[in-house]
Amino acid sequence: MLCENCKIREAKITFVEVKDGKKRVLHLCPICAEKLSLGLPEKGAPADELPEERAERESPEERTQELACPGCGMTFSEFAKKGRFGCAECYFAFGEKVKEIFEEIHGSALYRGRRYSTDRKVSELLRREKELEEALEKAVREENFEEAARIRDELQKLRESEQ
Amino acid sequence: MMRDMVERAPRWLSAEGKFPEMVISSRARVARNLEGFLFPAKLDKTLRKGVLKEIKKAALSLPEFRDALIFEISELSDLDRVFLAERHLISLDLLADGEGKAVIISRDETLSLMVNEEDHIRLQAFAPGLNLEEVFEKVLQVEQKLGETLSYAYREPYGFLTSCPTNTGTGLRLSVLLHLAGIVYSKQLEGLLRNLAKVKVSVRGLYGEGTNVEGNVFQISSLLSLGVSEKETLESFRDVVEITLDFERKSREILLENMKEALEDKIQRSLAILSSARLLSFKETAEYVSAVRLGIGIGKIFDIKVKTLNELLLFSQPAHLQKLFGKEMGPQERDEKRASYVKTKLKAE
Ligand SMILES: [Zn+2]
Ligand SMILES: [Zn+2]
Repeated sequence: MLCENCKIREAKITFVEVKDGKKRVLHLCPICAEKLSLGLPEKGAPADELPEERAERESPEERTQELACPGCGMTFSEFAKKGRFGCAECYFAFGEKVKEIFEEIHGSALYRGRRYSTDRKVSELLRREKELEEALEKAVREENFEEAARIRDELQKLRESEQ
Repeated sequence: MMRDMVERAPRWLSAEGKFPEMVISSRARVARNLEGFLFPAKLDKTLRKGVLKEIKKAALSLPEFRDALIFEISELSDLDRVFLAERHLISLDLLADGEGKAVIISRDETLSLMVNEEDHIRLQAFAPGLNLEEVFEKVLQVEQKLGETLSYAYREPYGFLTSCPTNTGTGLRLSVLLHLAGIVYSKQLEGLLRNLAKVKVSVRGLYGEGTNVEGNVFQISSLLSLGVSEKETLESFRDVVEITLDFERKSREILLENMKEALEDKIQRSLAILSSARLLSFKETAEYVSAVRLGIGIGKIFDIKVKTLNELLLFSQPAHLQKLFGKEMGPQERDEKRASYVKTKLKAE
């Protein structure tokens, strides 16, 4: 069964929506389900426009539809249809469109999690740095300025050692 | 291997955690992919098997996966696949055949690692009751250890790269299975859903994607993985769960104030049916178990353990029931065997 919202991807989720006191059951694809859970506008509103619909509306030079990923060969329209990337390169092959999709789904396109490096030593340092940053934020929030100063010093030392 | 699993319930159904009657279990999962390989759906068979080999080696070197159970999906019967899905150890996505797909399960079933599902790695940690901190710490700890031998696909500015854009970033998702009979009976589900629609969570039925709510058990999950840190995800999700539980407690108070007799009647009737019916469908069983569970929650039933009800629900599912009785059964025979299983189990209390 196709998703009742985008009518493109396969419906996988039964979604119960309550609007103006009325209950509505929808069969949705994971992407539309998450968008609706986030209270994002439904089909029709520009923010929820499908990437390929947008591509049609926009001027030809803005079209990303024909772009193919050099890593796996996936085209942007294939991605829009399936809602799945084929490989890590897809993220960069489709340019700004990817950022817009993240803005729609997560309200942000910026990573704020723990940093990671395939280099084990660097990875360890990054992890420690993140921990200290979080501890610093907490100390400041709790107005524990002595502790905050101590953490700031430690952070500075750590960052110097990284260079 | 699967034989041992048939005889016992997993630890996450042990009802040991906080508020076990309302919170059946807590779960955290992270999605990761390996650098240098296409995501599983695009990856050819041979490379998929190579990825599996590499991940298996990394996982089995960790103490968390000592004596782990390993199942290659292509080697399992349909019944065994559904059995693992009913236990939440694999997802419905892994049910589909495909070589190089596997699941690695820790002995106590508190960790499961799905390989080559939508992503190369889907690592999940489970705990009974409300215990988000434990599953959060555990899943990230094991993820970090795996990341010391494996190279994850990770790029600025997006973080960890996943097959689905809904998981990009931290790849982290927290969820709880909640028993919300008070809210359902007092007809306030819409109010709850309306409240939850404002925060960044999803609400689904017992088995996650694509299934309906049965036995008043809901799965609530966090949704965001970009723009938030792991810690923020934990903190905001914990708040959502607390708010939901408060809503449930208030609903129960309202029920007890306004319809005490009717509620107690429903609870006792449900227990009577479970103890004496000759035929029980899964849906019915789930409904009656829910009423009895609520009875324990509001102090009307003392001689039945929440753990027993968790096990009843687990083993009442079609694949579990068939494994338990050691044969394939059609719906009619299942209803009969289910009723006799439930009756025996309750009598043993
Ligand atoms: Zn859709
Ligand atoms: Zn690609």
